[in-house]
Amino acid sequence: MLEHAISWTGAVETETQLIARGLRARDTALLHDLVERFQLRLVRYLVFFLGRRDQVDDLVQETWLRVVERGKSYDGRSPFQAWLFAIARNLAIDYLRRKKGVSLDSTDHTEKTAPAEFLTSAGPSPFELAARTEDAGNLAASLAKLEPIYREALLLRFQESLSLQEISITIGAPVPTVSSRIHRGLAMLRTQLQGESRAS
Amino acid sequence: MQVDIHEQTRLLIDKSLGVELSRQEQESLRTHVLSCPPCQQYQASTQRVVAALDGFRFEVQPDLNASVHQSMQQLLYKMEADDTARRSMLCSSLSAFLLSFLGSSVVWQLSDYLAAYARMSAGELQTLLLLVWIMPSLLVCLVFPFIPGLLLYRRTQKGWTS
Repeated sequence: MLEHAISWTGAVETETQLIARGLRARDTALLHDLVERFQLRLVRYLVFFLGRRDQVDDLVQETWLRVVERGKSYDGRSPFQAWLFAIARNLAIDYLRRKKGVSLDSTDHTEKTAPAEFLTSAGPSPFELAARTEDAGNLAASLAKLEPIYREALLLRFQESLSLQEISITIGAPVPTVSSRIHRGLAMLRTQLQGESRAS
Repeated sequence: MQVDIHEQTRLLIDKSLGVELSRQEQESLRTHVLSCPPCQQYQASTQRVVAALDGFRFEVQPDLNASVHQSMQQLLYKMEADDTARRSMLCSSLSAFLLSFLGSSVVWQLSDYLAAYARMSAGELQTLLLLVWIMPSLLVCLVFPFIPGLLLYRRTQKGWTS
């Protein structure tokens, strides 16, 4: 529906330009369409980032309200998903700061974050509940313990299939940092999965 | 310092997860992995982790979309109402400014007649007009556009809005 369209000026608009124009005009139909299309990805992103499920719905609500309020600032040059996730990320960081005084500042590239257990709730992690394959089940516990920045990078690369450049825009970190987070995250999970294989 | 061939291969495997390798890099990777079981294992376990990451299925709570739509609609109405109020304040401000300007000009032109009627000099009457009519009118006109902002600030201070 939003692939390409001819605007009144006669120029072909890309999907992101159409979205930007719709956001500026506060087009209700477009906003509803965006919610339907991106909701699952947004929920998944926030679950991966927070490592918990209980606050995700509130943050999702807040994220969409920010999209409406700040729609004019989206210029359509970067993918909408990257912009949406960047808003969600900032809100999630604010939430964590309010709750625990955790520093997850996107401008802090020292890779130092709060311990992951600081951010998780009691009971089975959302990853254990969402695991649908044996290997995913084996990874669930390790994912829950992994620091949010690594989980986030892995999700954006392998589930959302964003390029390193797009991830860089989303998380506000340089491409080499993104690359390093992906490799470190993978290395930790690889060790876990190999350990599980040997144990079984 | 020469980089170990296994290390180099693993770097290429990692790199291939982020960007597309050049033809030469692909060839070098393929050739080495075929003849090196440890690097084969590294590549297989990496692919297994990536595949495992795809094995998570999250669900959206059934009423979440409806609730998001509702909140967005409410916000849109509120923003629309704010915009309308702002526009109307701006129009009122412009109208008030115009009327003040026109009214003041007319009175200014008639100041000689009015001064004679009020038994004052034209200069005195003009000073009086300037102080009690023209200046206050213009000041009120200038304040008009800021009224919605001031009201919003007051509401926020009283905790009327979240």
